[in-house]
Amino acid sequence: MDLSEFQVKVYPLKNKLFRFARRMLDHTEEAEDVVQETFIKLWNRRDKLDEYRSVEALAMITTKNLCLDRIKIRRYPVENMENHRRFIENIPEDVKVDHTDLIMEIHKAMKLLPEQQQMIVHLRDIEGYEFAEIAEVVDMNENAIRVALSRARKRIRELLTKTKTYEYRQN
Amino acid sequence: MNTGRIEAILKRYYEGNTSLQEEKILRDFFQGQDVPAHLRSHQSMFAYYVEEQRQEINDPEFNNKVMERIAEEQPEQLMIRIHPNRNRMMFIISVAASVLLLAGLFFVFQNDLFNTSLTKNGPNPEIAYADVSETLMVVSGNLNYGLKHVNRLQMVDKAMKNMQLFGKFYQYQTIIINPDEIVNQSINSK
Repeated sequence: MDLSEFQVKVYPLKNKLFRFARRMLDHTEEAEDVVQETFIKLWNRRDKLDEYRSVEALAMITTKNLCLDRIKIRRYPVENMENHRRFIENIPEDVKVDHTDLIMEIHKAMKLLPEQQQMIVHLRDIEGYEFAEIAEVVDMNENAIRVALSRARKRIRELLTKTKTYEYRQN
Repeated sequence: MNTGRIEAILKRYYEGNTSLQEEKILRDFFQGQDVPAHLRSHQSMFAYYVEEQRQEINDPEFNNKVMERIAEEQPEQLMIRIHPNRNRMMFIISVAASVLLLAGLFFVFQNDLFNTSLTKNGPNPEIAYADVSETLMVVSGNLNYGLKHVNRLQMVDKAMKNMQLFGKFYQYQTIIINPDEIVNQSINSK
């Protein structure tokens, strides 16, 4: 695979990889670094990329592993509210009034899930992956993924129901 | 969209049993204006997912950073490719060296054969003399050829030193030769 092929087939994955990395790391700059590292790793294996069934799955797995490595060496939990702020600035005014606080709650709720469940919800509900594709990235069978996904979605709803009382108080 | 159908899909959604198409139906429904009050608690969650889908890398320099690092990676790749060539060169050199070594051993061995032929024939002075003189003729012929081009005394001294070595060599074959004689002989024959 030469550079132009790499730019067409691999580089466009950048935003998907970035979202996945930021989901796991909850840190924008670190997520961008991880995406860069992912590209370098893939570039160094460019002669073998054609042998893989899915370059996207390989890229996602590489990003996942780089993120897990970084999380492992972290000494302090990262409390980065910058994502939330940026997110809130992006949503339209009329929606903002109703949802801003709730959306921050959803983000926090997702961070409370186990890493595996965070990844599965992210890949399914944000990236729209099929179960077979998720299975490749998280290295679990499809049934286990369905169970984990169900648990994660219910947990998020639970946390939202708690904040619902907050919403009513506001209104 | 029929609220009853949405509720049914929603129930399966929480069981992890919806298809991607059904999940899209849910997202579309919750983005609409006519969400019944009892379903609003799910709305912000789907809004969050839709918004997260749009998140992108904001750094305008990102592409340059990646391409710079890819360019940095290339020399390393070239280094790795050079190494097999280096090994091949080492292989060729070692083969050449061993061929030279074998050739050298062969010539030493040939001399041994010459010696044994002498001893096999017994101490026959005539044959020995013939062999030696034949050899000396070759030596003197070469020496003459060399002397044609060498007039300086220095060079003769050097040649004489070499001849002394030859003399030692033939001494080993129990034949005593005065190197000075050989030199004189060859100078005379010139």
